[in-house]
Amino acid sequence: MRTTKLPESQQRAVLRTALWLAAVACALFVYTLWRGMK
Amino acid sequence: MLRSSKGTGPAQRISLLTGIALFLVSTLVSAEYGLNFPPPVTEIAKEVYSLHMLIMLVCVGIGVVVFGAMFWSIVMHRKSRGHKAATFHESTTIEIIWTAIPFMILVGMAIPSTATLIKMEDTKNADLVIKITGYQWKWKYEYLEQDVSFFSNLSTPRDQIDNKVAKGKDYLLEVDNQLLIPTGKKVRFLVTANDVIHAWWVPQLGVKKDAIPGFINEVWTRVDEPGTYRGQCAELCGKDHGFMPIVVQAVSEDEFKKWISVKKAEVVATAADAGKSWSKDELLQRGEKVYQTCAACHGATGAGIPGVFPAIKGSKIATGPLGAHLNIVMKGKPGTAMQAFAGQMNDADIAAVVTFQRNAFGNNTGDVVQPSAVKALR
Amino acid sequence: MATAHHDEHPTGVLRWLTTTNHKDIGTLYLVFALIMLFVGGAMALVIRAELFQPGLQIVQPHFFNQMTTLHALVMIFGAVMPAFTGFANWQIPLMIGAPDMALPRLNNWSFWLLPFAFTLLLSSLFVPGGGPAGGWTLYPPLSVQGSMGTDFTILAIHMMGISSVLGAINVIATILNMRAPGMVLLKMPLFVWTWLITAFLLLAVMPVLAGAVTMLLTDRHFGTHFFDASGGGDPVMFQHVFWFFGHPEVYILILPAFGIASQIIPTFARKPLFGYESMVYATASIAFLSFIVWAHHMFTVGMPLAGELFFMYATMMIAVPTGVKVFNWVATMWKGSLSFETPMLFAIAFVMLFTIGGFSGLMLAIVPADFQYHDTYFVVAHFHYVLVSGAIFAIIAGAYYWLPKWTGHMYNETLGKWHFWLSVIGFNLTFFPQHFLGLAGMPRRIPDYALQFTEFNQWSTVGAFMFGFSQLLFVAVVVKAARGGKKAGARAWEGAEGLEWTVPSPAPYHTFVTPPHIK
Repeated sequence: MRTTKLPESQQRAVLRTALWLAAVACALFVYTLWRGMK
Repeated sequence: MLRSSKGTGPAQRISLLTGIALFLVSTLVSAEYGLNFPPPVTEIAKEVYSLHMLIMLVCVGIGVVVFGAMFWSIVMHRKSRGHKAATFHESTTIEIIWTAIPFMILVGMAIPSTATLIKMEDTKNADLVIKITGYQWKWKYEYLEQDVSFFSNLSTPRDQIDNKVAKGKDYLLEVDNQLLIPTGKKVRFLVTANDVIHAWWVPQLGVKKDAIPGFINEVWTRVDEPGTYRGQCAELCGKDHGFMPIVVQAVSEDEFKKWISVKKAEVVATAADAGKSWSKDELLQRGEKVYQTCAACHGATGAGIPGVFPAIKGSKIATGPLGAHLNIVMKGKPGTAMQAFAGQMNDADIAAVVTFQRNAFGNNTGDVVQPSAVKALR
Repeated sequence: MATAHHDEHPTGVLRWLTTTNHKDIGTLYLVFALIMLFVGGAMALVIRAELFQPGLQIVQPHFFNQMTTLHALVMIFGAVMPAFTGFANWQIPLMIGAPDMALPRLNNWSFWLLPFAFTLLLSSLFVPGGGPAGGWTLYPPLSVQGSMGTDFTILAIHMMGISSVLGAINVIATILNMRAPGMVLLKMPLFVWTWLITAFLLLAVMPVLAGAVTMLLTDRHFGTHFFDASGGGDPVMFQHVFWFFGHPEVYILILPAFGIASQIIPTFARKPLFGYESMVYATASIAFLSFIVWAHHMFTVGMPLAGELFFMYATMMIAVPTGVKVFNWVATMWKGSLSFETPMLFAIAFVMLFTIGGFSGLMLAIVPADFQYHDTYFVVAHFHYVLVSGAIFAIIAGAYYWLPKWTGHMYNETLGKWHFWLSVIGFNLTFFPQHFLGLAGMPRRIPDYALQFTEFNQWSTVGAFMFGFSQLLFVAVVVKAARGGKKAGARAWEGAEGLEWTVPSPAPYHTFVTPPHIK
């Protein structure tokens, strides 16, 4: 079985969401560390 | 079919194995080999020991049966021996049997265990109450009704730990101030902590209880035999978790009463120290000794551990305003391992150690702190 | 309907980064787990080296505590869990006649979260203050005192948790929806059953761990007092929440092992698994019971008597279904036609040594006695018997068993046997003496000890180095088998049953493109 290819637009949407989530997670993490250093 | 006349026949083999097994079991009972609990000295500890042996022997028995069947199968049911595989693959009857029998064995174990536990949890009608507080990394003992309290620190010299000199007999199990209790009396311990969770454990008494900051746990003991019993902290509490032992000395009631009066006299002497005026040298000398407590985190050379414990050498606090320095020593820094030493040290000790820190490690402020100044801040 | 041609798939690095194929992802998980086994193993050897003699010779206490903490986190979350997930990926579709997992793209992310999570976790060793040092159980208030490394750990745990939850969803969806026609639930191989149940356990408890460590994070930096008595909170509440996760977690760590053993023993006994339905119900009982015993990790916190009694009885109960499983494995061997290739050797050792771990577990359940065992080396001995000679031996057994299917080659049996005997001897030498150390009074998590504990510590350290280095033999076996060796047939083992043995060895990239019919 070959996994069905998603349409380009949907592929980009998934990647965009993932990148946003990663960015938010990184920001939260850095903020937490900063508070730890205060 | 057992022909015992043959030297290496089944009967001989079985007898030999039984003999070896019995020998091994007997060594298990012996505490000298470090294979079992150290000798119990309280009624409860003796009950716990018996319970432990009972459960262990039941397990060994079940193990012999199960592993015996496996070994038999491995030897007798090998393909290389020509054994042909049977085809049976289920039996409701046997499933019921080998569910019910273990269940009944467990019920048999649960009954004596319940009885012992109920006895252990009955802390009523004590003859003596002692409050035990765990600190990073020492114990504080308070005889509440006698108004005697003191700290108990590991007394093994650092040189032994660092392998510079030979280790003593009670390496890591010796303290400067032991906990004395009278024999034959029910002693109730109130266990708590000052900073993180610790646990107070003396194996021969059969007592272990977590010391939790903000909460008080109760446990009791009655020691029948006079002697010295050693234990350790049993809950990870930071870097010196392995270095805060417990030493309990059980003595006759008379000896205990004498010791209490001696301790009370010491309290009076300490208070007197605070009144007089100390010279810089006296303070530095005493301060260097008290600094051992600080060295646990701040290092023998005042360098600390970067990122974990700040340095005292060149520190803004130790070379800056005296008020801030005294404040942090006395009130601690919440959320960190820096404790409030106001409750742990007397005026003379605090004055001495602050004087020492402000003048040692190249800090050289020239400041001198008198015990009366510390007393005024309380 | 099946496509008549194979589509292109990328090669090289891009293949491994973007694969959605269950066999590739299974391989990724297994290779990752093997690497993490050595990382965690190296930490264990640092611990054992320091404990060879009384006194501090090699490391300082703060670093020692980082080693004990990270050793456990790496082994649990980096070695055992990913290894079992690797087996799940490779074997579940093959065993149920499915072409792949239900959610192949999600599968890829479930894996790739892990290297990032562990980079974060291991990098904590290099930030100021070092890595987490409060034990893998992270009890506050001690873990609230921890420096930056603890924050790194908390985030890493979140990432691992997400990976596990997504993987669990995939496993459940696959097993419930993609079995070949005719494969009713009670005809599934036991390995599939154990993973189905494990997946539900994961879904239930990983979020609980996430909650616990998040509360720890906010207590550390955002002014909450969940676990701080002076703020109206309770340090013991953390323990309750943590162990509500923690106890089912240890069953997550062993149920797939039970499944693997249940596949291997019938093969080499040339006899069907005894009591298949019993085994399914026993596994389900264990899983259910695992939710109501958590406080047996906390018997010394000062619980009311009624609580202590309840948790004692419930914990003792787990011995019943566990015993049933052991008896069924023995009954499978009984009157079989046994051969002792390496998978069977490890499977038999698993049954015996896991049972010993079970016995020490039963002893620990007895509360008055537990007061003496708790937080001593007796507990350390117990959980290493169930986790190393339990989970890890089963993983190794499964690897030897399925290597011919994965690689198409029979591995070198002589090397396998050497690996087995060195491991069994090394393992027992390391951990059996630790029972005695605990009974004699040696606490856990200490870098230095009183003189009377010296001899058994020395045996234990020698055993640890022997056991640790023997695992290099396993790497050699795996690498050699991947590269070449005697060709393996579809049914690589004479007595093997199951759908995976009906496809060629090595298994083609795409299998069961059309589902088989099960009678």
